Order: sequence, then structure tokens, then C-alpha cells
Amino acid sequence: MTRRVAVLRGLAILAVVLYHSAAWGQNAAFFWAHTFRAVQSPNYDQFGAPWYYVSVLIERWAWFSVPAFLFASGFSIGYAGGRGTATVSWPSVRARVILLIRPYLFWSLVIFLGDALLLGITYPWSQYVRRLAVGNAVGPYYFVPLLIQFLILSPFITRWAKRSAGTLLLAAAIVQGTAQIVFQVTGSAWTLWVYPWGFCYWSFFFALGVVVFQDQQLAGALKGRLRWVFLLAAGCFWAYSAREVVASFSSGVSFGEAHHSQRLSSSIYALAFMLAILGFGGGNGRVSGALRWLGARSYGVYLLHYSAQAAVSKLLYHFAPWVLAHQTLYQPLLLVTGLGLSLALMEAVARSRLRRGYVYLFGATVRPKGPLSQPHVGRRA
Amino acid sequence: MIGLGRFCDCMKVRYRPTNLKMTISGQVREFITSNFYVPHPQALADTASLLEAGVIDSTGVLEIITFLESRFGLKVNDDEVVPDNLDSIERIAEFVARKKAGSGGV
Repeated sequence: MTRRVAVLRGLAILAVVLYHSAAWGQNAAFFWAHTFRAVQSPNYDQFGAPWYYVSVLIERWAWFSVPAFLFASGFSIGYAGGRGTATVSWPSVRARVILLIRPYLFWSLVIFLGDALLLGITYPWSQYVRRLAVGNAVGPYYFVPLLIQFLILSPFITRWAKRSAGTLLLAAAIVQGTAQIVFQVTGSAWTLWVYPWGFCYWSFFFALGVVVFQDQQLAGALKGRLRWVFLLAAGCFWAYSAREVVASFSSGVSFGEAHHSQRLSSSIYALAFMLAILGFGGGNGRVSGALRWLGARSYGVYLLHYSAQAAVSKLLYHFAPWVLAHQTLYQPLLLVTGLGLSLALMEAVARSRLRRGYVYLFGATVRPKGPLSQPHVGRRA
Repeated sequence: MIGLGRFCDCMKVRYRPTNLKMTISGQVREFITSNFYVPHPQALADTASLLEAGVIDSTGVLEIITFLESRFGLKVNDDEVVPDNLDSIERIAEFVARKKAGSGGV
């Protein structure tokens, strides 16, 4: 199962980069249309174009990524807690938080500095503190404070999982479902913990990761015939959630709310797809090996890719807006940029005199240069 | 001479498991310090928790498993992936020694 989780992690970071590529594509088509057409922005003429439906399908497919990362983190915490009656130790929690927070703070400060120097965007000190606390240096960074919340709760979650995994999962599902329904109905957060970066919003996936590690029978069941059920369910809910997005936008819901808000159908899809990957992901071929390789670098890619895509997008906006008109060129370019620049920078640091700082910059403890730097092929898990 | 031979055989039997464990421990230490970011390799005790020392993150366990399987020809089962077997150089070495002796893991 450990290998399958590693494959899931690699697929999830690929999905994250794809999701943001699609989101930037939609942003250019609807909100930057004035740069390549004689129209005012926002302009929704391209709603209904083939590339638009493809981008919605991509976004909805990629929706499993955050749940997958939380599941993988829960699984890893489950390992740290062992299979006896003990729970994960506070020194282990502290070590993990430190691994996460050092690169997060560094790149957040780099982004703040870049915004100030290049775009003239500055905030009061209290705003900087708040943005760091909730992961708002750039959009995707909310995941770090979210994960840290779960790590702090992990000794309690792990102990609960060992005593009664069923009630833990039930409680987590109720908390998550309630938070998402409240958010979906009210359209805005009315309490701190309902925000997408609050743990209530995602509690089930982390808890599931802990439980799957603890429960060998459950882990075994995922590799059996159930995986076909999960695959079928994932396909159905993927299509349904994409249809929901298009229908929602067509009915007049705002672009952001229609395309980027959490839906119950998306959560069900994410769960089903994730479990399907765990069921099918035990291969020892090149694809699995490459995904595990990518997964080992996922935190660095996560921290870097969005800024790389933003920089390229803004350069194109100013100097080559004609590219923004061609989604079949623009979105793949962002995919390559997001992944390629991130991995290139990580590799450059690993091979330079800065390699001692690799763990501080990218949060990975595995040295990228050496026997583990190549995609490795392992046995079927 | 016969007595000396028997003595040597006895010593081999007595010391092979310990020597084997030390060799394994050395290989594991070399692997850990070469492939993970260990701030002070000389200060990393064989009994130190790799999790608590921040040496192993969420992806590191898989790297250790892959190393054990490829270097020592083991098959690490899912139920053996626990800190009791993998969370320190000493525990890893003992785990490998048990597996090679055929008595399995924890």
C-alpha cells in the first residue's frame, strides 16, 4: 500500500499543475480577452467552446488532488503512530511541521518581496501575518496551514483511529459534509473553520488515510474487486460534477463560485477516484515509477509551480497576448512551465553548492542526486 | 586441531548473527546518510528515531523499503511497515537480520 500511496501522490501533484493550467486558461479567455480581441473584459463569448469543456473536465478530474495529499499525509501519520496502542509522538509531529513550514515561509516571503518589487503590491504588517497564517501568499498555499492543523490534531486522530476507526470516519464525514454544505448554501464562511483552509472542510480524507494504514483488511479490500466499483463511481461523479459547473455558470452563478467552489459531487468523485488509484496503482512499470519519482518531489513542485505559471502568464499578457487566444497552446505551455521550471530549479539546487539547503527550500529529506534521483521501478505493492 | 576447528565453527555460529547485524547496520547507516539529509551524520545514533530527527519524511519510508528489498533481497510486507521495524538504524538492521534468519518481522 505504501507504493500505491506514493503513486497517488505523484498523480496528485500532476493534477494540481494541470488544474492551475486550466484555471489560468479560463482566466485568460474570460478576463484577459481584451488583450487579444477588441472586446471588454470580462467577456464570456468563449463559454461553450470545445476547449472550455475540456478545461472544466480537467479541473473536475484534478479535484481529487487535495484529498489525495491529505490522505497520503494521514497514511504517513498512521505509519508514524505504528500499529500498537501508542499514538504518533509530539517530536514526530514537530519534525514534520518544521519540514513543511521552513520552505513555506521562505517562498511566501519571496512572493511577497516579488509582489512588492515587481508589482508594487504591499500590505500592512498585520496583513502579511494574516496571509502567512492562512496561506494566502498565493492561492494554493492554503494547503500548508491546513495540513499543519491536521498534524497538530494527529495524535488525537491516531488514537481515535486505533480505538474506533468507524466512529472516527463517521464523525469526520459528518464534520466535512456539514462544513461543505454550509459553505455551499451560504456562499461564504461564517466561521473561521468553514473556510477551505480550515480542517473541518477536509477532515474525512486525512482520517481515512490514518485508518487505511491502521486497518490491513481495509487496505486489502481496496485492492480487490471494489476498485472497479470505485472506478465506475469516479467516472460518473466526474462527469456529473463537470455538468454541475457548466449548468451553474449558465444559470448566472459567478465564474469563481461556479468553477472553483467545493461540491458534494466533487467530494464523492475525489474519494472514489482516489480509492480507485489505490486499487489499481500497484504496478511496477515505468509510469508507476515515474509517478513515485514525481511524488517524492511533490512539495517542491507545489510550492513553485503556481508562481512559475503566474510569471509566464503575466509575461505573455504584456509581451505576447496572441498566445492567450490559443488555449491549445497556452494551457500546455503552462503545464510544461509549472512542472518543468519547478523540477529544473530543484535539480539545479541539488547539483549546486546550495544543495545543503535543498531540504530547507523544498521540504524533501531525500537527496535528489544519487541512486534515488532516477525514477525507480519497484515490485507490485 | 580438531578442537580448534570445532572452536572456530562454534565461534562462527556464535558471532555470525552479531557480525551480520553489524554489517547490515553499517550498510543501513551508509544508505541513510548518503540518501537523506542528515544534519550531523556522526551524531546520528543507531537508536535515534528517524521520524523524530526529521530525517525521514512521508516519502522516505518507501525509499527505505526499496533499499532493503534491492540490497538484501527481502520482501517487505505491508504489515511490516511500522516504526518498530524501520524507525532507526538499529531497528532496520534487526528487522533485516530477522527476515534473513527467516523468523519474519514484528
